[in-house]
Amino acid sequence: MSCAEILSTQAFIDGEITGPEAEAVERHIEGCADCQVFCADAAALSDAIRTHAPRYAAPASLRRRVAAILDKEEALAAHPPRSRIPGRPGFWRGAFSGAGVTALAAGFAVLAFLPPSASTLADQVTLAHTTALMRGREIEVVSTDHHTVKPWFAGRLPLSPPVADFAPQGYKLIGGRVDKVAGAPAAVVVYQHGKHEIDLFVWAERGSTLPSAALSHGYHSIFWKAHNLDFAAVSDTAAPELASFVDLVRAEPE
Amino acid sequence: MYDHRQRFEALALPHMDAAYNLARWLSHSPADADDIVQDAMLRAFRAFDQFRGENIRPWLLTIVRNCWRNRAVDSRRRGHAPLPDEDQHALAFDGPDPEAEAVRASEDSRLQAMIAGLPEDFRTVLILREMEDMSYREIAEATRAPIGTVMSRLARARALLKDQWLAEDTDVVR
Repeated sequence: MSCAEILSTQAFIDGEITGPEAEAVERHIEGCADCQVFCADAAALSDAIRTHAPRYAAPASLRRRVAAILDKEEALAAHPPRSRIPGRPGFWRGAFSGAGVTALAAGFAVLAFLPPSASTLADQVTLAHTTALMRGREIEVVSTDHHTVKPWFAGRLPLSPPVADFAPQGYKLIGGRVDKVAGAPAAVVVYQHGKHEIDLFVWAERGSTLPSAALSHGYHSIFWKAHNLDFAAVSDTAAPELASFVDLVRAEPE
Repeated sequence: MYDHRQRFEALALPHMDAAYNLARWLSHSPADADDIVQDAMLRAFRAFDQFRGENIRPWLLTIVRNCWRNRAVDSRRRGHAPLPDEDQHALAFDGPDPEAEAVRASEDSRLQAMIAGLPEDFRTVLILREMEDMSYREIAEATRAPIGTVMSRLARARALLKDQWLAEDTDVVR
C-alpha cells in the first residue's frame, strides 16, 4: 500500500467521488498495481465483514425500555415540580438561544470527557448550573422547608447534604435537585439571593483536590470539603455575596 | 410537548439499530450496550432542542460514543476494568497464542475478535462505514474528526484487518 493516491482510491470505492473526478481515479487504478490490490482487499474485507461480523439489531426489550424512559421523562417535563423564578425565563432563553446553545452543547460534550481535576471542576459545576437553568430543571423538589428538601434527597442519593434556610440573612432556600458533577451524582440545594440563584453542589468526596474559588464564564464558584463531602457553591451573584453565603453554610452545624 | 416527543421518535428511533450496533462493538457486551443506548437516547431526548442539523444519525452516534466513554472512564475510576481498548489490543496484535487459537472455532469469532481488537478510533470508523454505510462526512460528524482523519483511519483499519484476515486465511475468503 505504498501508492500516494491510496486515499483517493479508497474514496472512490466508498462512493465518495463522482463525476469527472471519478473517471480520473478510475484511470489511475487501471495503471496502478498497488491500488488494484487495495481495491481487491477492501472488497474481500467488506464481504468478510458482511458474512462473519453481525450488525446487531436493538432488541425489542431495549426499545421498550427506551419508550418507558421517554414516557417518564415526558411526564416529568409536562408536570414540572415548579416553574422557574419569574422574570428569568426570558433572560435564559435569550442568553442561550442559537449559537449559545450550540456552544454550550459542544462544551458539554467536551467536558463530559474531562477528569475531575481542579482546573476543570469550576467549569463543570458552572456548566451543570447553567444547563439546569437553561432547561428550567434547576428545581426538582420545590420547598422553602428544609424538613421537606432533606428527606427528598434521602431516597435518591447515597449521601445526605446539609440543608438549611438562610432567608433571614437574604439567602432563601427554594428547593433542590439531583445533578451530576464530573460524572458523579451530586445533590444540589438551590437558594435565591435577590434576583440571583445560587446552586450548592454536594457530592461524595473522591480524594481529589478542589480549587478554592474560581470564575468561569462569569459565574463565581467556591469549593470546600467537610464531613467527607465536597461542596461547591455556584452563582452569577457577586463574589463577596457568594462568599457570605458560603460562610453561612459552613457555620451551620451538621 | 407531545409534538416534541413525536418528532424525536420519528427522527431518532429509526437509528436505534445503528446506535445499538455501535454500542455493542464498542462495549463488547449486550448488557452494557443496552445501558449505553438507553442512556444515550435519554440524553438525546433531553438535548433534542439543541439539535439543529438535518441529519440526526451522526449527532445521535456522537452521544452513544460519549456515553460509552463516560462509562469506560467511570469503571476505570472505580478500579473495576481497564478502558475497553487497553485489554483488547492483545487479541489482535500479539500474534497467535495456543489458547486463543483453540477459541477460534469459527471464522465468525475470529473476524469479530480482530475487529474488536482494533483501536477504538479505527474500529468506530470501520463499523460506521462498513455496517452503517455512512458517508465520510457523516462519520466525521459522528466522531468529531476532520474528514482527512476519517479517511486515514479507515485506510489504517482496513490495512490492519487485511494483514490479519487475508494473510492468515487465504483459502476461506477467496
